[in-house]
Amino acid sequence: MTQFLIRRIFWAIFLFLVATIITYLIFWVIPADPAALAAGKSATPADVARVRHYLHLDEPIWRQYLRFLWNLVGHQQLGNSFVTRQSVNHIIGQDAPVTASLVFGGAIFWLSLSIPVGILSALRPRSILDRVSMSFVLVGISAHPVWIGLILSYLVGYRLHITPIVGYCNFFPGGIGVQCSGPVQWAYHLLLPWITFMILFAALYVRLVRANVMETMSEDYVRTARAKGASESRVMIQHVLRNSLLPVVTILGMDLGLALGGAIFTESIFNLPGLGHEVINAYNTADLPTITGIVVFATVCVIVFNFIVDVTYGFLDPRIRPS
Amino acid sequence: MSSGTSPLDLTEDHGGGFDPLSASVAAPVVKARGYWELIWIRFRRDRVAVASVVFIVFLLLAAFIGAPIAAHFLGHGPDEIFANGVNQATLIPVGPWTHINTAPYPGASGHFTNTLLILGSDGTLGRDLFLRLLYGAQASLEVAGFATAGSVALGVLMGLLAGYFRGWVDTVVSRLIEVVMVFPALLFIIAVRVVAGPQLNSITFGFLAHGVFTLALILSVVGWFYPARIIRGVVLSLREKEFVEAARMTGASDFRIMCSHLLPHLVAPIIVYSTLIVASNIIVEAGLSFLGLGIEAPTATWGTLLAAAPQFYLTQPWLMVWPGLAILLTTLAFNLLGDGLRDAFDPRARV
Repeated sequence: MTQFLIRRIFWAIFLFLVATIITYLIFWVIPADPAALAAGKSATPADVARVRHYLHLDEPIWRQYLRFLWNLVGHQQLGNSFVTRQSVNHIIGQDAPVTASLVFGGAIFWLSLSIPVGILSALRPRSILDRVSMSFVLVGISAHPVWIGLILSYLVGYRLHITPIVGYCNFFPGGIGVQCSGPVQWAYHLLLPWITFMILFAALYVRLVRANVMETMSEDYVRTARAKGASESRVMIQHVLRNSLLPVVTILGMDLGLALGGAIFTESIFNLPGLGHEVINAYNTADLPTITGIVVFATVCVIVFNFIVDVTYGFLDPRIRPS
Repeated sequence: MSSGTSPLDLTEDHGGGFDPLSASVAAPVVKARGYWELIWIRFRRDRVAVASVVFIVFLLLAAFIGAPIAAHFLGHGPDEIFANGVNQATLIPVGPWTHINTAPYPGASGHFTNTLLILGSDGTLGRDLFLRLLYGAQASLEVAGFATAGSVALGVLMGLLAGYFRGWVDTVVSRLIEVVMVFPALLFIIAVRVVAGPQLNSITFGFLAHGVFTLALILSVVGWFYPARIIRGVVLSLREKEFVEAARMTGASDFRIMCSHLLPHLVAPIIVYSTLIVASNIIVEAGLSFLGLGIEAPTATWGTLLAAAPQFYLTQPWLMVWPGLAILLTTLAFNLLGDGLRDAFDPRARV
């Protein structure tokens, strides 16, 4: 177990290094002239040269990268925005809770729908429930998440006045210039984004859970358990579900990156001030440090989450460890 | 193809009418069915999959042949701006089936013809939504098609190498896949767009719309790992089969084994997964264009049309319905086709 843990830690560190190198190369080496971007549109060549020196862009690439890495690891600093001159750490600190509320809340929604539906569909293949849920799956993976969000906010928010159409409220009460806050308002405003997320991912997960449960039910050890006289509920809970739902947990870890992508769409439809919203704004203003910061932050989140899932999984299932 | 429609009809069709004499004398000639023939027989029994193919063919015809014809008959292009396409009092785009005057601004002197906007106009610029939907299908399908070709080609190459050689090649490819999976794809796309967008966008090969190449390239780079994983798995089990051993014994080179012996067995998964990847690429393209990261104005895609919708969604909700429906039906058709093909290729996999 210790060996497994050490190997996963080294792999996580390696992934982090690779991800930061790729990020650094994309943002600071490929662009025609990051200094010109930083200096703004009306800068003179002298200004650009000064900015280039200030950002250390006149140094060799490897030294730039090491400086970037040192700032990141040693000082946990991601730099300052070209546009607002705010620290990127501060920007991410403001936006991350919004995205986290969206993604984790959405995950609870989609898991609590897809696990029971997937299991029931697998138990009764070709039943009415199975057919309905499989049709729902097809529509869910074929409809565009943006479109689902727009239609939901039009029908539920605008036509039926059940939920707010756009906007976000902080979970914790208080704050300066905050219009609404508190857990109730927070959940009320996030209800539609969560449902959008749920439709998108529940479709994938229902299919996954259904396939996993069906596959596990045809395993030899399930037949053995039945043969030795275990009750049907014991077979299901102890043998089938335990083995078929564990892989779902791993895939949940991998889908975090996908969910961060989905968050960009959901945030832009429902105007939630999260990381996705921020990254689109930064894209429109060519604000390189903010985009780099968010990419690095998101990658680190995915790596850490994958690491936790891997270790938990290895702890729960001894077969995983040696590989 | 099979001569009869019934699977039990094993006799060859001798042509002409029913001839009792020859039918009783001639022994029935049994003809073996080929691999593709069996697949075709299974496939055409699947009505949903056949309907999907019909829809996809219809869509391709409408996008690449129907769109210029429609533009010709309507007398205006998809990017033409009409001042009268927007209601001047309310500033709301005109609704479906509206005849508008082509005057460059309201009250312009001179005589201007009327023109018809079948689905109304697309937003503040008053362009023809119907034509833009048709032309948008071109860009969306081009991106999805080329991106799928790129990612599947790269994925098959990587999966084949990793599965066939195993050892360190497999380790490198598998680790590469893990790195690609960890990296948030959408953020990567934003990164490439912001740093190399203008340079890549200008590559059109003379026939693509501005930006199609960029999207196809990026989607290939971030999407190859999915087919690669599947192909690797298939190759890992195939390489242990006797025919590979036999080929190696006759002195076939690794390259020859991969190309002539393994690749033909990969055709089925390649076709099935390509269909499913096309569907997801259509969604991704629309999403990127919605965020302003995709094809640039004025070229229409379903995503840019969808992006114009939120501005008017309280006053002109039709704007979000049409592009969304187009995306839904197209991806649904590709997904259903993929499922149908999977069943046709491997009837045992059906659950």
